[in-house]
Amino acid sequence: LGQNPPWYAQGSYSAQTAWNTIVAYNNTSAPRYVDTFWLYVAHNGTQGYGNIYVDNIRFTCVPNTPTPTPTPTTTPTAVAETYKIRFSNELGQTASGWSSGEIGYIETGVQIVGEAFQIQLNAPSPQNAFNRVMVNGADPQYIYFFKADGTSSSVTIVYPPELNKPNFAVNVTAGGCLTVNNNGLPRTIVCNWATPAQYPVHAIVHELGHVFTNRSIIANSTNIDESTRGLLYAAIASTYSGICTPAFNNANNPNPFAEMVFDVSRCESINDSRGQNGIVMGRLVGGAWVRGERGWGSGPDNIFTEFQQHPLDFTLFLNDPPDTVVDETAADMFLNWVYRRRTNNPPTYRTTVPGIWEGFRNQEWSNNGGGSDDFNYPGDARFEWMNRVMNQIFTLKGW
Amino acid sequence: MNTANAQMFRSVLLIILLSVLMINTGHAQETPQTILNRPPLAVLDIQYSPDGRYLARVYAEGRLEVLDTSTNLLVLEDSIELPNSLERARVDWSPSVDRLAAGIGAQVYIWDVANWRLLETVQAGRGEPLVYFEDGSYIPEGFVSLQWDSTGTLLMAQSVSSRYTVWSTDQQAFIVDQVIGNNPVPIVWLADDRHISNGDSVFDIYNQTPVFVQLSPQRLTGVVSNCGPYSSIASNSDRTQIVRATIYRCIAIQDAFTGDEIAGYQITPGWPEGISGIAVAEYMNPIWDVSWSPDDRTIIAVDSLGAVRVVHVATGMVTLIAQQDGPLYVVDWADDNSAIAYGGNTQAEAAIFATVSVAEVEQLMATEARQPEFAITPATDR
Repeated sequence: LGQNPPWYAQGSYSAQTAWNTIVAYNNTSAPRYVDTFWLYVAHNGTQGYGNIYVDNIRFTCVPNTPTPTPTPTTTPTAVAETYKIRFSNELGQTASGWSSGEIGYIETGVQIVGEAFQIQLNAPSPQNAFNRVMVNGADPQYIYFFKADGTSSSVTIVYPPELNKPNFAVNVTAGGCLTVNNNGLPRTIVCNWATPAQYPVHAIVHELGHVFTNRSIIANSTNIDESTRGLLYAAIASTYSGICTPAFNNANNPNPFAEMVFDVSRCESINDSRGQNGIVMGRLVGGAWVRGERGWGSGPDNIFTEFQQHPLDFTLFLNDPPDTVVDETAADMFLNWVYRRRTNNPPTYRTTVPGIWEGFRNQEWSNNGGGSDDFNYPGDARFEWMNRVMNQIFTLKGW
Repeated sequence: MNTANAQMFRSVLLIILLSVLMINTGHAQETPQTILNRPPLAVLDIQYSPDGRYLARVYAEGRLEVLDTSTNLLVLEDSIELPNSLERARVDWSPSVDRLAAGIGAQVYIWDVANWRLLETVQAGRGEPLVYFEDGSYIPEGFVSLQWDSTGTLLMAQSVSSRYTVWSTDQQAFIVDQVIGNNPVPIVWLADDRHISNGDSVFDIYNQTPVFVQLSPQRLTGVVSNCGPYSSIASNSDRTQIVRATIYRCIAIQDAFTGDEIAGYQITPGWPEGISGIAVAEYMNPIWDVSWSPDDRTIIAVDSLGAVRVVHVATGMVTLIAQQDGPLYVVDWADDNSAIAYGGNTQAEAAIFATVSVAEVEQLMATEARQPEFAITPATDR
């Protein structure tokens, strides 16, 4: 590539590893990111970091289309050093052993999130984008993935000795995952897997949604949701209470929801193409809050599916308290946004039913696992609303 | 309370006591779904006839009653058999008081006032008795809005299932019949008898594509930030202004045609000081109904915590008129300016129905009025 302008490659590189991840760019007009590729480059001599003679080495291009059953293609160490994530078994917790397949699921989930952030930030690489948003400035500088063996829902997280952190007991349903965002502890994703969850990559992206929510805290906000739970939580909470938090208030200048295609949607509600009459998420006129059963990437909401990792009507979740409902909805909205952002760039609205992208789709899932076309565009409405919310979060956080 | 009202009150008490004895035990049967409805004896709507001669009221169990306000005697009593007690029902008198429309269940019943004969039954709701909502609940089919146009020939109805109809009594046909959305936001006629409004968008019954046209109204920031979604709507005497009330005890007065907000008042604090975030949802208290005085100078509102308050339109001054032990769903200010009537149900699920003379209301306003939590206009809004 380096010998054939306008293409050039850029990525992190480590002389100690055999495999590196590189992103292709095209600078025909102005240098710009073209697409996300995995370039698995067999190291064959370089002249130092950032100055690889690419024409002298072997490489394989893998388009960034999603892979439902991903196969790990890099060693854990390589990815862990690229993305700031660490696995329990590589940090001395031999009893908490991730299998290579499980590590592959996690890496794929992290990569998918990184790609969405890269598009959002116009960042040089998914790793750069992921680390900026999810890790940089944290202590320690990584997300800790802890594996439990799935035999009991009582799980004790053990941290690497060098962190000198106490063990932390949590309750994680066998087969499920949970995110620990406790102040003073590393941000931790614990999966209680005897065997991996039904949709392990989506589960990881959902959990990363909880990490993102916590990372979006604005500590000096006067609003308790923004200052203790995070901006993404606050955005969903605005639909729950019907009162906008300061970050998302329509009265702000500029209004974060100004001139939307779905022009009735505001911080308090997501409305489809029928305006006030078509609620996707928010308070109905009778007062009840609806998370909504339309516009998700899969459904229905009483079973686990790829894009509803915490379905509200699933038996186990029927008695969730309001803050859990809001928090889990935030993570599922994040999950759907991440996938749609990667596969629908630049975003389009009201063009296709149900849509060929992943994540939010224009489908109705009420008691209907197959989904049916919804020409009121609920998936697009969710996506546009989330784009506005994420734009505001990225702006306010300065990422 | 004057003599007539006291007599009426005693009559009402008797009716309530009798009604308590007649509670349909069928409602205690196990139901497979979460059904959101009101207790059978809840009073869901009340309307004085424009000439003040009659008062119509409808109960959640499907019973319709019409009182002669001069004698306090029932002149009409009719019951519709329903599988579930209702969450919403509506009544409305034609402007010339020749007809009474009652939306109960999936049907609108139109009565000839001259002889209290049922003229026609119009199926303006949908076929299923229960309407599914995406929070997983079911609400019995009923009517959120029901209103005659100013000529008394067109009857607009909006069902819980989001079916919007306009029935022409001349043509004996629907001139509008559409299902729009999944959130039946209450609607009213505008003065031109052509447009129907929910305050944010309008629907032209003679040009139904697009269905609702979004307005771009001037909103008051204070209302946007503090009041939450709307829960009820009412138009003033000439239908040029509308008032919308919210789930956090606000009322906003709007130009009916542009939707511009003219004034916004929060009647009492939406939530205690120091509360923010999702916790404010615990203090939700929808104003379930509002009604203008005939001179358009005062608005009366009832809420889910049983308060009856009047608000002076020009200043926002608020007066508590009554406090009941249970949610109130309906209030009406008689067009002859004699009295107001309101209804709901007690905590023990008995009916609440009461009237207060306007003289008494005015006396309370003179002595008990207080500043609202906030009062804003375009000039003062920041």
